[in-house]
Amino acid sequence: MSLNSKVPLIMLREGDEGVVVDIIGGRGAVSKLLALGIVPGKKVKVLGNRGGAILISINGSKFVVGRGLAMKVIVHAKQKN
Amino acid sequence: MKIAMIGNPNVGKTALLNALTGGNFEVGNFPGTTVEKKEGKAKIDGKEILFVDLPGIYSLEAHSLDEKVAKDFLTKERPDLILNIVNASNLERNLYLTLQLVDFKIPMILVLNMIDEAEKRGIRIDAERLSKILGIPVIKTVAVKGIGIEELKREILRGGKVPRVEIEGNIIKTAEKIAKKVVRVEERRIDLTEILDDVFMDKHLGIPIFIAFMWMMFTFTFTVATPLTDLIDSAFSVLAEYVSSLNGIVFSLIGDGVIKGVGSVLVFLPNIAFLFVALSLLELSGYMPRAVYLMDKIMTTFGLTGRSVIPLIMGFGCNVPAVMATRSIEDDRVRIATLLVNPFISCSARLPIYVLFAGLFFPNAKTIVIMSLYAFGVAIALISALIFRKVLLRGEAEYIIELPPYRIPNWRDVWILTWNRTKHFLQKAGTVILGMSVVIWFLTNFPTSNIESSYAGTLGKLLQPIFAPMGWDWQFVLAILMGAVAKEVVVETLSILNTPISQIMTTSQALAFMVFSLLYMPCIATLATIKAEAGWKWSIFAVIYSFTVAYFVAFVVEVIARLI
Amino acid sequence: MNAFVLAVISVTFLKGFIVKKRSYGFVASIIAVIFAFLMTLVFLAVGTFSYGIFGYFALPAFIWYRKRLAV
Ligand SMILES: Nc1nc2c(ncn2[C@@H]2O[C@H](COP(=O)(O)OP(=O)(O)OP(=O)(O)O)[C@@H](O)[C@H]2O)c(=O)[nH]1
Ligand SMILES: [Mg+2]
Repeated sequence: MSLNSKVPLIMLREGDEGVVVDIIGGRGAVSKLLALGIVPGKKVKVLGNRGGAILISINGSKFVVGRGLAMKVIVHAKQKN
Repeated sequence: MKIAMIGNPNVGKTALLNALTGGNFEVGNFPGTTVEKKEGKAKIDGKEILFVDLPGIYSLEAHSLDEKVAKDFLTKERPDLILNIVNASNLERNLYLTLQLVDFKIPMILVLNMIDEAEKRGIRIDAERLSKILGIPVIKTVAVKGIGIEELKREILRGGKVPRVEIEGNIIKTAEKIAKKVVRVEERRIDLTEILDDVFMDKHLGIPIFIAFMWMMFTFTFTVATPLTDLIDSAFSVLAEYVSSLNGIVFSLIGDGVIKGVGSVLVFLPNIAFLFVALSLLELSGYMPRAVYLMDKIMTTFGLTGRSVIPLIMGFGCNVPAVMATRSIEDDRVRIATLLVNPFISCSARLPIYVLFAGLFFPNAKTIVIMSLYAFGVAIALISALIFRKVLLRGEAEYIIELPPYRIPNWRDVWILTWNRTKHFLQKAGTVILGMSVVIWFLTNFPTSNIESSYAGTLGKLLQPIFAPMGWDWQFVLAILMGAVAKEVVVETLSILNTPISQIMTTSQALAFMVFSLLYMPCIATLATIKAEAGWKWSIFAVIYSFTVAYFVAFVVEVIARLI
Repeated sequence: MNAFVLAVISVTFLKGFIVKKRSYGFVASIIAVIFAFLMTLVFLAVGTFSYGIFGYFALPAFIWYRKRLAV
């Protein structure tokens, strides 16, 4: 896989999957996401991304993530086959 | 003994409190139902126990005001025992908080709630092993069905244990390891939530379905409740007429004042109760937080976030709990903006005004006119939010919210929500509205019973010039003044004054009056809540802003409607 | 507005056929039945008739989808 497959979560399209690799941003954002189980190593699936907040599924939970916060979650996008 | 109930949002803490104490606390299927500390007492085997239900938290780093309530309680009040309630379907994530709680060195019991749902999803948890690893008792429960409650009570009497856990590396890794040891996942069937979300969150159909549901909610509220409303109406008219036909000033006070006044408001009890039923279904089914996602783009355009949607929808019921619900919004500027515009969302207290005026002036288009007023309120709220966020409360906002699974509302919870809120309406009728009926009756009957020269007439005419541009008669001006206490009083005043509304008002004036009543000022109770949640400065701002907007908009509506 | 609700229900059914996903038919039949119930209440309360009442015909569809989806 190429290097540029590491992208902010917000770049994934509906139906895409990826693995969380990093969370960038302030301490607040990081601690919040960690507590919610959005941690490096977890598989994430984008269920909806159409301009507003995005809808994801991770660890069997669903979250609505505002666009701003979704910029801070870096994922390794899975190549679609 | 003082017991704190701590856990992630929406894991069933309040449901468990109800099961343990037989209480009637409000539950809801979305994170952030409980935003303040709630206390419930129970006697277990003769022992007095105080349960303190707290807002849900994901970690001990508080990000929002409701989370701070929970954290402050833990650090400042030191309970004797912590009931850590976790969602059995999501153990690993919930353990993150559990492991943070270990540091307090307070005895703990771990409650694995929602075992029923976990089993449906094929998730098995080895409670014994978990208990050994954490060093505390672990009890499986289904709070809504009362399963496991007796066992939990016995364990509470034993007092719990101070947890002893070996943290390997960091908490996240430890939680993951523990979960791996005790959770077994069997085959997973597709569940209802996936199927419903497929459609409710559909790219094109999501918003139309949302609008359809809203429409159905209002049809239920206004149309289906009509026969009951008519029934109460005729009962009160007969009663009022009979009592006031008796001679004597006391009978006049009771008949023309109290019965007529309070009756004119109580008539709307069916509408209000039906609205509360519909709202409770929305809150308990799990559909409401879906609106967060569906509406995010629109909300963002107006400077809010999807997170603001839940308090806004709750505002249709009553603005007081809705303003409090903004506590779970993390970003302070978005929170203040959401809270300030909430009174523009038309609450149930304003509904009598619309039903009365729309019924008189638009008998054939009643529901549409009322719906338009609701929509108008929403529009004003959104535009105001945009102005606030552009001028006073600037800055980017971030948020994340967990979506719960859909749940079939159980009748007990629907009843609790509906009854608590309806009861509040009845209490208001028995206190504020009753008190106001006496005041208004006095004003209309003294110093002379000729209404034009009574205090009411004098006061109304004195203030009338302020509203001269709209051309309202003095009775309406007085109604607005009195209605500042509670919006129901607007209708009450007109009723006690025997105002021949359709004879002294044009259709355009009526429209402007409805719009003005919708917007002009948060009621006293809402103002007090705004003060408590945001401070003096903002509550004064809210009064000035809403009055200015109402005045201006009502005038414009009057002028435009007259032209048409 | 009632026509709008009926349109939403029909389009949802339709989309189900187009994308070949049973969840759409399932949800559409649920909404149809709820709407039919509501319109029955409206009819009883104020005597206004709406075609929404025929939504009860979606009941067999609901049962059929339920079985297929195994929920
Ligand atoms: N199936 C099932 N549902 C439950 C159980 N316990 C609670 N619920 C439901 O879960 C939802 C959330 O319950 P609440 O008691 O309001 O949750 P909470 O933890 O107090 O939530 P917050 O106040 O927002 O932190 C409600 O719809 C309850 O009916 C359970 O054991 N099984
Ligand atoms: Mg609660």
